[in-house]
Amino acid sequence: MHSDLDIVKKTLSNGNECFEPLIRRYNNYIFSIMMRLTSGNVDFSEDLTQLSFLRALKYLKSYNQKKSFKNWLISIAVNCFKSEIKKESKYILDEVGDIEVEENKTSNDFYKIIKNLNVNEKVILTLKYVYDQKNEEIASTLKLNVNTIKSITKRALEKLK
Amino acid sequence: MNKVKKTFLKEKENDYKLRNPKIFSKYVIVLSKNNPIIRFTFIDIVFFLVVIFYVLFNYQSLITMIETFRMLFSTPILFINEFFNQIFIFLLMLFFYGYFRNKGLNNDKLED
Repeated sequence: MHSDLDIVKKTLSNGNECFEPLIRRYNNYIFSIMMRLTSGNVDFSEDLTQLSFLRALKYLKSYNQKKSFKNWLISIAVNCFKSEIKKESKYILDEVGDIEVEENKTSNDFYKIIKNLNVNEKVILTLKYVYDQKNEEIASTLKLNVNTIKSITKRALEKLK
Repeated sequence: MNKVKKTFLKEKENDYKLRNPKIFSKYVIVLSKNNPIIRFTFIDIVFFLVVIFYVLFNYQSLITMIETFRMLFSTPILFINEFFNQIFIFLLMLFFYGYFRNKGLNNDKLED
């Protein structure tokens, strides 16, 4: 099995077709992040996953090969979510989210909790507590200070009490 | 607080999967190839500079050409004979512009 870096190098030299194994490797992972961030909106999550991979392909040249590809992909996905949520306020998770939650029979509680948070709080809590990411990793993903991450986490948890 | 953490822990157990992961990955690759790139390249800038300088140095003959443009419909041979150089240079410029622009776009696609 080829490493992420090998596939990235191959894609950069031989073209986009070589990127397919990486999409297959991470598509469900990125989709799961999107599902959690969008409170279970399947269609929107699929669109965002697709957009994330397209952006990853577009900006693959700018990927720092010394860093983890997975984290770079997560940061692209999170940025996609943030930019699309700004554009498409219709998806702000109130109506559509509930319907999808029932259809998927997934944990309603998580979606209910996460729905009351703003975008940054949602991303930080999800990455921290569901994906076990460290504050430093989240800080580099969101391009924020580690202390800011800590204070946002604290504030979000207080909000949820 | 505990309830919140329990909810997060419970959420960890959920496994989300795309409906058609294989089709999805192929579709992303196809989309990435069909992404049209519309941007100004070096060739465009050179072409526009050449056109601007050409017009600057030959504006009188161009004005004459526009003024007598109706000749193209009444006496086309005479019109072509009169403005052969201008038409030839214009077509040549257009040919080179199209050739290099296309070459540049193909190189972009290969780089992708």
